[in-house]
Amino acid sequence: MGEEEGNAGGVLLALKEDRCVGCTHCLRVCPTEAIRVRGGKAQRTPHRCIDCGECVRVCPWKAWAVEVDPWERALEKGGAVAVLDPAVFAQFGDRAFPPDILRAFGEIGFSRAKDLGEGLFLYRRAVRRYLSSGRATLPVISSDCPAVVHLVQVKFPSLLENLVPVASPFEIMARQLRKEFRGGGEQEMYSIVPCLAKARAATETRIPDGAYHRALPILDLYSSLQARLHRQAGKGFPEPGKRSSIPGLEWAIPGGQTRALGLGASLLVDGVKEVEEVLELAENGRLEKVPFIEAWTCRGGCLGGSLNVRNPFWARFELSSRIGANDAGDRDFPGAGEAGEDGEDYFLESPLSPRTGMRLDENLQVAMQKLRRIDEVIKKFPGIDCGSCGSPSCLALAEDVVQGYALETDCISVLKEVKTLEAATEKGASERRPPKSKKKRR
Amino acid sequence: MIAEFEIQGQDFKRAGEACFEIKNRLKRLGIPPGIIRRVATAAYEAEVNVIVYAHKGTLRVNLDDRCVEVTVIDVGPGIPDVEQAMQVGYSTAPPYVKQLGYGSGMGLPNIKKNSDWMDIQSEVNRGTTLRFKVNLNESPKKDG
Repeated sequence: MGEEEGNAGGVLLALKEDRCVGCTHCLRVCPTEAIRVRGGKAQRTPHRCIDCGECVRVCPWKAWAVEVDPWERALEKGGAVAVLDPAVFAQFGDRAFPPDILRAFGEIGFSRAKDLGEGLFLYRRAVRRYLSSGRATLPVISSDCPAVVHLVQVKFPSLLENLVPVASPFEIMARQLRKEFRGGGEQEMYSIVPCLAKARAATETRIPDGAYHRALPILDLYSSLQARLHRQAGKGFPEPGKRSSIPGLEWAIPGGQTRALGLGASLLVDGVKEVEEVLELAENGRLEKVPFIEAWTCRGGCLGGSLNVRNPFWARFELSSRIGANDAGDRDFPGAGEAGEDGEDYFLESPLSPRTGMRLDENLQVAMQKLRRIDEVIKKFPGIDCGSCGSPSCLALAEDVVQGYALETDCISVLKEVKTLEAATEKGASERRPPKSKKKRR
Repeated sequence: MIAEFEIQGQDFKRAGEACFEIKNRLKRLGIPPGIIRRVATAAYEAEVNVIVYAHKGTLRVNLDDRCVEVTVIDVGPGIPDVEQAMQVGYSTAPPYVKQLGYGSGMGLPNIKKNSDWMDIQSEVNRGTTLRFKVNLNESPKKDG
């Protein structure tokens, strides 16, 4: 999963080379050290990338950009179904209510638009079943955020067994909808997502019938939808309460998942560095009494996704006022998952596998030799982690040198020493030269 | 040897740093995740023990084709009764240490639980040498 570079669900993280100035902003924030600057431009190693979107957020030149395949034409042929992440409902201001937003999706060409409520409801039921099954390894780590899952796969493989082994709400929703549509003609499924990680996850399903044809970022639909909503506005406010809430909105806000799962207490963490710190603690065996970790790599949860429009905290304020008492409760989905289905249907069949992005070599002996060489090489570097070499830290440069991806002289400190030495040697040599040659040089 | 660290007594702020480095190195080497977790848990306890009880110490990690071996040599008060110290819940940590969340008497038992072999040599008023090994072949012991 995520090992392949490419156009995931029609959404691609790519560098706009003309904008990249080779600064070190993205280099420093990447949690898996997947970025290097080479030849004055940033480069990304796909097998280490966890799609957290930190590079997109931090780039002052907007060089890391998310490219989206044109979608307007694709919708013209009809039969497209949109499934909306709860974060979508927080993007359009205080006059746009969930039913208006769903209707606007129809107006821009989708034949149908659904909120994720039912998927969240079924997901919740499966997770509850897992938590009470006695099979869970503490601390149980929420797997709803795909970037958290990728982070565990790349950097904390020993915690894979702690991840909730249940398909995502989006996957479950896709499967439910396909059941509804059975026999009813070809449907194109679109997930409407707040972040890169969910875009990538859209086409990579782990349960049968769980995949989407494409993912579309909220950002790319925003102006089209806002135009429709603007036209609707002025028709007055809807009657209070009734139209203002739909089930599942709470999930877009950190802590919402814990409440929806009915857990009294959980360790709630958002932000990729913060999640890493908590995973370190878990890996050191410090959190074995923590029942559940609700983790989001974006600060502010999915409202903080890099493909949203609205400021996440403002969005949170507006969404909070929408959240009803009826959050994805049983009475909202009396018919969901009927016909002998239970939560186990959404358990993943095979365990999540680690990604080997951090490994030095396949062969242990060779890897140990490399580790020793890294310890030698790093002594030559100043330890200031300036990033001028194009690697995120002196340690990363040492590793790159040993792996053959960089030269020691990429370090400006080393280069300066070499140059000073060269100059001294040259000076010494020239002083010994006959005056004739000296003249010539002038 | 794949790693060596100096640990200062009472340096609570840096608790976990040696453990972090060890994990990083083992991950770079491609050691199986389950092994890393056991080494990490045991090494963290050993690191904290030096911080809580000793003046200073050195933590060394060795690796061969069969096991990861961690050796922690500290200069400190030593352990008068090793057998007693191995009891779950037995602790001589002062109250302020307990308030920090350490010294619950789980340290040495936890190291034993997460390792396949463990040895303590201690001399009162001189110091303690703790060694433990975690086999690279997934051991029958349950993780964590």
